[in-house]
Parts: sequence; C-alpha cells; structure tokens
Amino acid sequence: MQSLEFKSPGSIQEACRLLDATGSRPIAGGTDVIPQMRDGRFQAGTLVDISRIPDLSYVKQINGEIAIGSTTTHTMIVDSPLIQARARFLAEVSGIVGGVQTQNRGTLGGNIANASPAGDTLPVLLALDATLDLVSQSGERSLALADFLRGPGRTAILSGEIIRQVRFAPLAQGAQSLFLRLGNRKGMLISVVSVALVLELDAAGRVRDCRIALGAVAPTPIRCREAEAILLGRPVDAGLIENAAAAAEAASRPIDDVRASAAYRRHIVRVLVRRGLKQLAGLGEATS
Amino acid sequence: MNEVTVTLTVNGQAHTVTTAAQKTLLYLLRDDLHLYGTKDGCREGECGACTVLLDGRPVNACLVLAGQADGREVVTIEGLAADDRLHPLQHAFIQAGAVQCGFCTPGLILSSVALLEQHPHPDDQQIRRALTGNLCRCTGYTKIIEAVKLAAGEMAMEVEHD
Repeated sequence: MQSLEFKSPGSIQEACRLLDATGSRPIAGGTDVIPQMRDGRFQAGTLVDISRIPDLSYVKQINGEIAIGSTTTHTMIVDSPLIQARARFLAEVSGIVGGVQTQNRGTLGGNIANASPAGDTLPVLLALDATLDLVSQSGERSLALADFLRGPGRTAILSGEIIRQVRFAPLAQGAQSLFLRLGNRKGMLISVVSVALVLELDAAGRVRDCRIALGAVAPTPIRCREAEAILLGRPVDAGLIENAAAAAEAASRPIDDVRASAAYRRHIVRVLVRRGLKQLAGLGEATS
Repeated sequence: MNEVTVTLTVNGQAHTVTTAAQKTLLYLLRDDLHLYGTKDGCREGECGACTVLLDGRPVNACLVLAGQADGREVVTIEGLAADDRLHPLQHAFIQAGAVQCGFCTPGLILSSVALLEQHPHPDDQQIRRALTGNLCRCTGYTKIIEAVKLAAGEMAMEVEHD
C-alpha cells in the first residue's frame, strides 16, 4: 500500500476538520477501504479513523424513530433487541455481511458510504425509507438514502462531511420483513441479486404496507414502487404476487458481469420476489 | 515515510511499536513482533487466515491498520497455550485430525475460541456460522467441526473439575 498519514480524532468536530483537506478520507472498519487502497482503486494521503469516536456507535430510539450511529458494527446490529423486534431483516442481513470477522469490524455507515450496487444492507435500508444525517464543519443536513446513492461507488457526500447516523421509522408490529439473496455460494459472497421485502396485512387479509427493494440489479439498489402499487390495498393471493414479481423484474436494469448474466439476474429477481412475498403472506413456498 | 507509534497488548504482554502508518496489524505482528503464527492469505478479508482476537473478538488482522490497534488487546495463536499445555482447541484439532496443510489452522482456532467463549455448547449451525469467514482448502470442514465439538466437551469437563 502507498505511504499515508494516519489520524485518530476523538470527536466528530475534529474528524470533520481533518477530513476537510485534499487527500483525506475516512476509515472505520476498513473492510472496504483497505482492499480498495491495496488494489489502487482508492487514493488517500491521510486516513482519518472515525471508528473510535465515542458518540458515533449506537442503536437507539429517538422521537419514535430508530437511529443507528454510522460506526455501529454489523455485530452490534445483529445483537440489538430493538432491531430484532422492529426491523428484523436488518438484523438478518447484518448477520450475513461477510464472515464474523467482517461483522465485528465493518460498519453500517461504511456499507452505505461504499455504495456498492451489491451492498447487502442497502436494499434493506431503502425498504425502511432510511434517512441519513450528515455532518460537516458548516453544520448538518439530512438526505434520503435514495438521494444519497448516486451510482456504483458514488454518493452525494461532500468533502469534509461524514455520515453521523441513519434513521428510519420502525416497522409496524404486525409487519413482516425478509432479506433474500442469491450468490454463487452460501457464505462470504457478493450477491448476484438481493431482495428486501416488507409485508403487512390488515385483519381482512388486504395489504396495508408493502415494500420491495432490490440489490445488484441496477447502478444503485432500487425500490420497486410499481410492484408495491400492485399489492397495496388488495387482498393478497398468488396471482397478485406473480404480477408484482413480474413488475419487479421489469424494473431491474442489471448488467452482465463475472458473477451472472443480466438475463439470469432478471429471472432471479422474479423468483426471489415471488418466493419472499409468498413466504411473508403465508402462502407456503419454502425458501432454500 | 509516515509513521505511527502504537501501544498495544499482545498475548498479555505490552508493546510499543513505531511503524509505517499504512502497515496493517497483520504485518505489525509478523514483521515488528516476529509472531509468524498469524498467516497472510488473501489480504482482503476473505480467507480468515490472519484472524486474531481484538479486544476478545475475531477480526481479520489484514484489515486493521496498525494505528487502529493502539490501546487494544490482541490475542494470536501464540497466546493460547499455557506453558507447555496446549489450549483444548489446539489439542482437539490434533485429536480430530482437523489439520492438513495447517495454513488456515491458527485462524480457525481463534474464531473457535471466540465462539466457545460466547456459546460453550454450540450446535453445528452455530459452529458453521462462526467459521464462515475462515476458508480451509484441504479438509472439507467435517473434522474441523468435530474438533470444535470435541474441545467444547473437554472445556466443559475442565469447568466441572475447577
């Protein structure tokens, strides 16, 4: 790796000051930054370690929302009773990001800032309508995650700015959520396709809430509003789910790459959306 | 060249090391402290051969910058045996024949140490999940899983005797 300077600020303010300089980049868990630097995909003269700033690592409830500090590790999310109860698929996905070693170091803010089209937590956070609070020397601003992600490895973050926290409304008590992904093996994989789903039915079996987000099938993870609209307000059945799965397939714009062809990815979107919605609706298609 | 000065505890012993700022904990251990049990496999967090315990949790030493280990406690494979007595997991890996080329073994044993701290009686699924980030290209994992179970049994017996 190239020669660099290493700084370990003790506060958010100091981190922002250090980052507001040419060639400064933040590092937290290092699980993306270090391999990228080693490959020469990432240049930095100074790495600013934000992982030890005390007030950036937490899961808590604020004003009815769940807020997660940006350097909260995947392990902390897996272990959080609040996330398990009110955003279960976020706990699930955090438990399959890399291996245990990656989960112990890798952070939620890092997974967002890395902005990989296949970033595992991103479809889940899109399905949660997550908002990011960004902080810099000149103050704070908030941005919907959907507006923050601009393309593969590209975000709306400005120089000298860090993600302070991610927040979202907890899912309703009666809502169910699920994260499914297909990869070329079971562990330690980069998703070929991933799907994050939320489904809530009312007492009459009609869809009260439905959210469908996809990973690895477009330059950024995407929400499929067309597919959601097919289900919302209607009594759920296999035919309706098939239509929603077809709409999700139509919304995907995948590429051919070393992991899978675009045509295969489109097909898998339909399969995973159908399978996941049936499972959440109790229409009995087992997941493998 | 930019340097960092790092004070850390490795296997119970305090060290202060001044080294290149871009160096990772893996090469601080190998080059500066001459602890060669932590292996350099993929250098990108895929293989787990460089697994060490950082404040008790398994991490890939290849993805931790030296400066990030400042003030931390590190345990490597060299820190497990007490005097001439192997750690029950080291002994169990030998007993079960869970070692072929041996390159992945230190990392697998450290991930297993952390697992058994948290879950003294793990089932197969817990063992498999704990070892997802440790690749072995020789054994097919069956004997490794047997070894972890064997060690869990041994350690439970030791606790009873204490």
